[in-house]
Amino acid sequence: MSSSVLAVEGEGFVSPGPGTFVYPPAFGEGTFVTKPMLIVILGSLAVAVFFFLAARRAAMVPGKTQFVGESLYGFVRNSIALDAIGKPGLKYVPYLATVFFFLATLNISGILPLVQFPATSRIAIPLFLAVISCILFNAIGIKREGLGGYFKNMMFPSGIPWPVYILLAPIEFVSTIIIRPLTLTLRLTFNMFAGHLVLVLFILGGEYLIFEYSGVVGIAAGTVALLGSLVLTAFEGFVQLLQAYVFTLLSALYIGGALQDEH
Amino acid sequence: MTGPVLWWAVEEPSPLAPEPAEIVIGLIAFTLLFLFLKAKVYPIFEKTFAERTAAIEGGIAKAEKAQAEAAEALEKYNAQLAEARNEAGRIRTEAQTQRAEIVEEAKAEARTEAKRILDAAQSQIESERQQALTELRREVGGLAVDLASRVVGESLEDEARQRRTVERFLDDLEGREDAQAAAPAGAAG
Amino acid sequence: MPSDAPDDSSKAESERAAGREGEADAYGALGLVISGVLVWGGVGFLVAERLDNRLFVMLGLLLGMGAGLYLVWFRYGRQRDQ
Repeated sequence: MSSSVLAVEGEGFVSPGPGTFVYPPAFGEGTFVTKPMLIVILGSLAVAVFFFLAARRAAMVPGKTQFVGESLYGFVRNSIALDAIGKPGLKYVPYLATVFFFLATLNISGILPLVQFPATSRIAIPLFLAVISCILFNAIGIKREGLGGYFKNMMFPSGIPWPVYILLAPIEFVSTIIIRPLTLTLRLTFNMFAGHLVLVLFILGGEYLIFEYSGVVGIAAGTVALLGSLVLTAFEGFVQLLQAYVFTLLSALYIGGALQDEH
Repeated sequence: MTGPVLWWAVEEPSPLAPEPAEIVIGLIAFTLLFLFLKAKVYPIFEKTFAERTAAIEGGIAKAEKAQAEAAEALEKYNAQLAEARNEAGRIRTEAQTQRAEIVEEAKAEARTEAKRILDAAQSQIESERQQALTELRREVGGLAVDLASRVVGESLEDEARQRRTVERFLDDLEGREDAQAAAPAGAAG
Repeated sequence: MPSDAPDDSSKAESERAAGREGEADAYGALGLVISGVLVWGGVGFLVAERLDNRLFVMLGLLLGMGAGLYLVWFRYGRQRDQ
């Protein structure tokens, strides 16, 4: 956020832009790790520790932590894997659950006090997960139908006169191999990106109105903006969980599609 | 500070440009998290779920078993009750038979006793009659003497009348003896 | 209770199947149209560059959108009628 803060101290208010998402190395010039990387590492660690505690003393009648952990896992298991894939989906619950927990944590880091940056707004994170999901469901399809059979089913559905294949086959291919992971990536990245940008705008704008613009109007408008940022924070939390869910659900749907008979 | 910049990003770093270092770090973090959770957490959750399901099913089975046991116990109880009723009935009939026997026995005993008393009475009456008869016979002699003395004592005016008197007297005696002999024999019959 | 016991009853299974097909169809249809526009719009752009005629971009875009929509009908609309 440093560049934007500097901008505020300059002449007039400069609204925060994509520069807001670029951080210098966290431990001074020359070091490697930046704030988003730290969030990824610490977030993963937090997830691991939480679920370790939740599963440590597994009991028939769960304690609080165990209950939360089991509910989260049960949600992915029953409401995503079983719903989107069916019984064969149980095999992919570990992957889907980890994706959901990983993304939910890195999304929620956007409204977590002191952290306040969604690591998933950096396109690298959604991208590599989307690529893994893409490789996974294609591998499942190829394993089930064979390499030729898989692409034949995908690109050359029966019941179409052959010249039309020239027109349609590239579309099917692009749709499955490129558009799917691309939309997965972009949907998540830009939801987080836009949400964070709006939050920063409201907070920095409110701050600027109160302390720089000043006067009755400035203070009133700034207060409204800061209050609005609170509402927005709650809304962002909802969007962050929803997007983690959507990403996981779509991955599950793609896997389910690859497992089905008709492509 | 900035990642690889795509061609349409001009001044600001593009949000579309993935940072290779972030991909590497994210990939490592995700993979480690996945391996850890898959090894240490998910199997335990699945096991708990399965156990809980089994516990619910086991509870149902247990309840069914208890119900069956209760039904069995009820049946047993009913059987015992029926048996007890049979036993009571048997005892009752037995008692009735016994009672009849006792009554019969008592009756027979009473009959023999009555007969015995009757016999004793009869023999006593007979002996008393015999005794009375012998006594009477003995008295007749006395009476005869008495009569003779009275006849002698009185005037012998009418010989005929005296004779009649004696004869009548003797007739009377005969009749009395007959009547006396006949009476006890009739009573004994 | 945490949502634990696996709900594998056949009724729930069929309801879920219907639900997930609807969702998959919606996302799949969108993907097909986007792909059609991208692929054939891209081809049209290349042709337009080569022939120096902007018309081909428009032709490509229209062709791609039409093909994409046809695929959507072929994949999802047709199966509904069966």
